[in-house]
Amino acid sequence: MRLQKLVLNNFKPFYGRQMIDFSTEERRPLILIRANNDVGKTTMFDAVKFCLYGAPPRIDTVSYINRTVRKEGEGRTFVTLIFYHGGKHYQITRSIDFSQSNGETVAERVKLDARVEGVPQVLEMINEQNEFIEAILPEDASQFFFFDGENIQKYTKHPPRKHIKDAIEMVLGIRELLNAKEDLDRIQRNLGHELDHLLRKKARQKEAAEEVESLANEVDNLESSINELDGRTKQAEKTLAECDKELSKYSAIREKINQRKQLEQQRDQLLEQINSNKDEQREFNRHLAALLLAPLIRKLSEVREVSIPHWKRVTLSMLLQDPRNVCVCRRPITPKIKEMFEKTLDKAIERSPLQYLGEKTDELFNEAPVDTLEKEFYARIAQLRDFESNLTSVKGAIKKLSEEIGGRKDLDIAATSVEKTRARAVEQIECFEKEKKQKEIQFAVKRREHDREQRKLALEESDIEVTDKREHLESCQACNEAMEAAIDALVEKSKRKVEELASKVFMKLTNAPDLYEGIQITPEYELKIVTKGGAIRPVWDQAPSSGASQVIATSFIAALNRYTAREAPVIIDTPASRLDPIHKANVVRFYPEIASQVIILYHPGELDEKDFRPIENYISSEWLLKRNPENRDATIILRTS
Amino acid sequence: MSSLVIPEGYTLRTAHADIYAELVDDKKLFKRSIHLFTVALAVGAILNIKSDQKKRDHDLIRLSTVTDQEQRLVIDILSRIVCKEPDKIARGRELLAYADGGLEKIWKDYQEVGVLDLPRLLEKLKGKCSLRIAELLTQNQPW
Repeated sequence: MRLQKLVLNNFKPFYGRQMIDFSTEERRPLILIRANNDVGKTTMFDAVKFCLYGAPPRIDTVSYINRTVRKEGEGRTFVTLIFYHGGKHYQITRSIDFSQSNGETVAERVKLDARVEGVPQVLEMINEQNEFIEAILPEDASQFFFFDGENIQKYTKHPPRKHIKDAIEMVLGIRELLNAKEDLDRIQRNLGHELDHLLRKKARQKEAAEEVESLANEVDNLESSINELDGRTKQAEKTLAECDKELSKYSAIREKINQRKQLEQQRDQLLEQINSNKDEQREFNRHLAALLLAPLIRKLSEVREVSIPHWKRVTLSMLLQDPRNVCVCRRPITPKIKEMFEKTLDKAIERSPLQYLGEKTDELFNEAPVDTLEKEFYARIAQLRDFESNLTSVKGAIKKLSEEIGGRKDLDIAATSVEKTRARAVEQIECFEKEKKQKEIQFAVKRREHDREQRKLALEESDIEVTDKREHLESCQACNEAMEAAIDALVEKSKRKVEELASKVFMKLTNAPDLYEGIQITPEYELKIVTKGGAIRPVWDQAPSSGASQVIATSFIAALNRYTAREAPVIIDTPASRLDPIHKANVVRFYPEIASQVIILYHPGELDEKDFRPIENYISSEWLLKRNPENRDATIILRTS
Repeated sequence: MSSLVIPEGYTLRTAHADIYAELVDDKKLFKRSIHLFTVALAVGAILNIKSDQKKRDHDLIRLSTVTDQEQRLVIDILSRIVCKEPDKIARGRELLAYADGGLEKIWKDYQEVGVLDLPRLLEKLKGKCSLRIAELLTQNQPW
């Protein structure tokens, strides 16, 4: 399967017809799709799954219809996927026709239209549609091709759940073998019933024959009970999986809430620093006038130096007191000159205004040393600008996180409720499994008893018809046992292979390759980490961060993906939000290897241009999903490179 | 020469009580009104701006109660440089006109930028200072 195009028509935020080209160039398997949260990244991911597998149970299909188009009356929402598979051109469209009734949007049944090489396929029944799609990529296996980076951690959860066993059985095709074995069981059971019936008809010991048949009924009843318990367990497991998914969402939100808390603390600290800086500035502002007058103060200090010097004052005083009235230049001192000398001397004795100002500025300079004040002033202003700039970035980060978190005030209440439901489901599973074990023991005992009695009666009966039926039944039993042994051997072998592949990928992705040797899958299908010293620890016991868990889960998924040997694209939503820089770099470098077509839906907060630089030669195209500036409820798709 | 050129008992007043309320009481940019007064006076003196407001009915502080030596020195120096009136009371009025003129300039900038951009003010005044100083120091003062 090689995707070519995805067309979205009035699907969720995609108003009108929007198309994205998924074609890739040779040796450039990557397609990057960037979008902020709540713009349509996960919708695009869901659209591919919706087109192939339809709406998941309990989903109101009206929610797929774009809100704006709903208001416009009746219409059609559809998703078309165009791709090549097995050398043929496929076009699959899943659509929802809708209309309005009593002011509400009413969605009709979801329709599937499939064309192979342009020829419409007749797929009227749901079963036919499912079989058609399953032949391309089974829905169960699709989880290893289309996955959300934030939700794959279920594989690393404790206690080990059936996810790992189910996943391995599925990708190995063991499911088909198990189905075949189930068919064989049914044939064996029918042959048993037929033999019982024949014996009752032909046996000379009527009573014994009736006893065997009654044992057979008991065995049947026990088997039905076991099947019913299986059904109930499956339902409880589904609830459990849903709870885990929900809790994982809460955990991601909680992580964001914690990040926001830390940022809020940082913001408060910055606000405190800003306030303290402002207080200091306010204190400082008492010197501001002196600082503003600094050039004047300096100038006044200079001019004071040129006021009447001491020697001049002494000379003038002596000349005025001398009765000869002769100047130092030997010229007579006339009354006019005398008056001028007296005035000059008076001014000098009184101190000139400039001299006075000079002295005052000296005093002011002592009170407020302007050079120091100026330095202090600019340092404080620079510090304030730093604080304010940091505050702006922190506030921006808080706003972004708040948008991602949304208005989830009752998160703890909701999480507690989900945890309760989860605990109930775990309890139910344990209870059903316990009951099932008891029933299985009873079943095995009764079955042995029935088989023994049946064999005894059949041996006693010499009728050819009975002998034939008995031999037929015995070969069926032998066949069944052989198949069971073959499945066990295959599971074991395949498990080792998956383990080997997962270890290889893990060693590429881990940020501590010196510490680890790989991943091991135990007989109980638990993922374990093998350390260099040879110690084997469960993943949960290593207490990995959510990022490390994601790396382990990614390794496991990549291994299963490779093991399926299916040609299908890998679509990853939110690939790196929980990864530290080393894990992120390793995972990003690994993307070109994961499949021949890899579509990455990411938000700018988790990956940026710098992260993609090491793999830029593997990128075929880059896209941006953004809100339509003319209609804030609509998302548009833009090719950016 | 040792006493002030304006009466010691003179009350410093303003026509812009609202600006003082905003910058000192609300925004708390200055600890006391006298600090804003001296800054405004420095701005008015250096930029040679006198307010044409006739009525200054809001009392800030009586000059005799200003104990902060730095503020007294600023008032003393600037009043000796800029006030030209022969009468002490008239010189006081002249001083207040310069202070309100400077305040109006500060307020205009504050409203334009939204904050009291002190570095900008400082740089602006530095630029104007040299010419103004020469002009001020060559004038004949009545005192």
